[in-house]
Amino acid sequence: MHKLLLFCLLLWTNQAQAAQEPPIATGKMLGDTCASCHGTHGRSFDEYMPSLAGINRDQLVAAMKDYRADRRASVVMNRIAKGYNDREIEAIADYFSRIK
Amino acid sequence: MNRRELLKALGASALLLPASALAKTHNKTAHVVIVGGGIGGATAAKYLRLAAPHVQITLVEPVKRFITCLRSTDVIVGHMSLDDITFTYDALRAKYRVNVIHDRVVGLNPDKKTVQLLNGKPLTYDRLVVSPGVDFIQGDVEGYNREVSETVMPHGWKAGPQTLLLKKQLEAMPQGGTYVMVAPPLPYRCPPGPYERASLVAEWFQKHNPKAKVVILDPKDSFTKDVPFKKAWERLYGFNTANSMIEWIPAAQGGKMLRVDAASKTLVAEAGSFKADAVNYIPPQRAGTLAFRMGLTNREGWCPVDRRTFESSIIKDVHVIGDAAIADTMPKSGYSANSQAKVAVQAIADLLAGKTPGEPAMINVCYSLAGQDYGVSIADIFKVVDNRIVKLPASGVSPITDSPAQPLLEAVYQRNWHRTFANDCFA
Repeated sequence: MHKLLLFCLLLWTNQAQAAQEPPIATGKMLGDTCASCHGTHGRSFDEYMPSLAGINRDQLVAAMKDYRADRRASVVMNRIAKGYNDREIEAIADYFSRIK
Repeated sequence: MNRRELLKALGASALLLPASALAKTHNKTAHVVIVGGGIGGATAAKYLRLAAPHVQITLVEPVKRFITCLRSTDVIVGHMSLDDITFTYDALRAKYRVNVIHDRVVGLNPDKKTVQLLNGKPLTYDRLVVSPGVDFIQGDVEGYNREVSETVMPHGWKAGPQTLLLKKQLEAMPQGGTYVMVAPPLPYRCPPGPYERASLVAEWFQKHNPKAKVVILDPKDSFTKDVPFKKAWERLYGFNTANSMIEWIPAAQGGKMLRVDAASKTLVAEAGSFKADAVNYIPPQRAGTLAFRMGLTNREGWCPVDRRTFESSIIKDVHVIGDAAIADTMPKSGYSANSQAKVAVQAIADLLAGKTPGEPAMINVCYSLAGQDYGVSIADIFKVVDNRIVKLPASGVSPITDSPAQPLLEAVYQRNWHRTFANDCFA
C-alpha cells in the first residue's frame, strides 16, 4: 500500500514537472546542430572535431557539462555548451550514443 | 443478401480500392521541390532525404558546379584555388536520390502549386523550399553601378569570376599602393567577411607589397567579432599605430560613401576623397531576385517566415531559408543557412506525415581568419520565442587571452570545419 502511494506520488510529481518544463527539441534535431562541425550523424571526416557517433552517453553528458561550467578547456565548446540545458544535453547524448 | 447483391457489393468495393490505395501512394510520393542549390538548398535536399526516405525530391539550380563564398578570400590571397571551394551535385543525385535539374526558375503559381522553368516543363510541388541567397542594391552612390562592379570595383561577394577579378587587381597594385574596401550596411551576407578579407589582404601585403595598406570605408560603427578582430590587427598589422596596415573608418568618422569616380579609382566618403589602386566595393544587399519574382519578399526586400518552420508568411506551403529569410538575431551565414535548412525540412517531413512540427534548434558557429595562423570565432545557439529567433545570452565571441594557442587552434579548426561543413551540405 505504501509502495503504491509512493508510486502515485512519484507519477504525480513527474507529471507536474513535465508540465512546468518548456518543450525541448528532439535529440535528432539538437544533434543536427552538432553535425555542421562534427559531421552528418556525428561522423566526422578525420578532423580535429571528434566523431560523436556511437559515443558513450555518460561521457558526452559529462563532457558537455564540464565545458558549460568552464571546468574543461576548449576552443569553442565552452561557448557552445552554454546554449544547452541538462535535458537537451541528455537528449543529444542519447541520440549520438545510439548511432552505430 | 443474394449472390447478385454480394457481387455488386464486392464490385463496388473493388472500385473503391484503387482510390484509397492511390491516396496512400500519393502520401508516400509527396513531391518537394527545392529551388537554389547553394548551402541552404543542398543541405535541405540531403537532410530531407534523411528525414523522409519516400518523398520525391527535385532540386533546381542553374549551375552544374557550385562555388561557395566560404573561403573565397583564401582564393584571392592565393591560399586556395577555386577548385578547392567548388562542389558538385553528384552525391545528392547518387546517395540521396535527389533529382537535380539544371535550369532556371522563372515563375511561381501558388494556386496550382507549380514552378515554371525557363527550359523544362513546370514542376508541381506539395511543398516548395526556396533558398535564393542575396542580390545587390546599387544604392544611391553616384558613379557606382553594375558595370563598375564588373570592371573597376569588384565586390567579390559571389564566388567565381568576381573572386578572380579582385585577385587580379590585388596582384596588379603598385608597391606601396592603397586597397580600399567599401563595407556594406547591415543586413548582408557573411557579417565578418569584409573584416576577414581586410585582414588576409594585409597579410598578403606583408609578403608581397609591404608598404601597401588597406582602408575600410564603413557605414557602420561596429561589426561582428570586432573586439577579437581589432586585437588581432594590433598584434599582426600594427593597428592603432602610425604604421598600421589597416585603417578602419567607421560611420562616426565619415565612413559612409557619397560618390565614386571609376575612371580615376577615386572614392569620396564623408571623411574625404580616397585615391585607390584596387577597390573592393561590397554593395548593400537584399533577398535574391528569385524571391522577388516569386512574390516572397516584404517592403524591405527580405522574406518574412514562420520562425519555427521557415514557411513563408506570404505564400502557403513555400519555405524560404538562408540569407534571404528574415531570421532576426541569426546572421546571414552559410552556417545559419545549413541550420535553417535542417529545421525547415524536418518541419516539412513532419507536416507531410500529418504531424505537428516539433521544437526547432538552431546554431551559428563562424570561424574567420585574421591571419593564416590566427582565427577568431563566434558561436551562438538560437531558440524561437514568440515567433522571434533569439540568441541565448551565454555564447559569444572568442575570448581575448595571452595564450597564442587560442587563435592558432581557431585557425586550425577553421580549416577542419570548412571540410566537414562542405561535406555536411554536399556529400
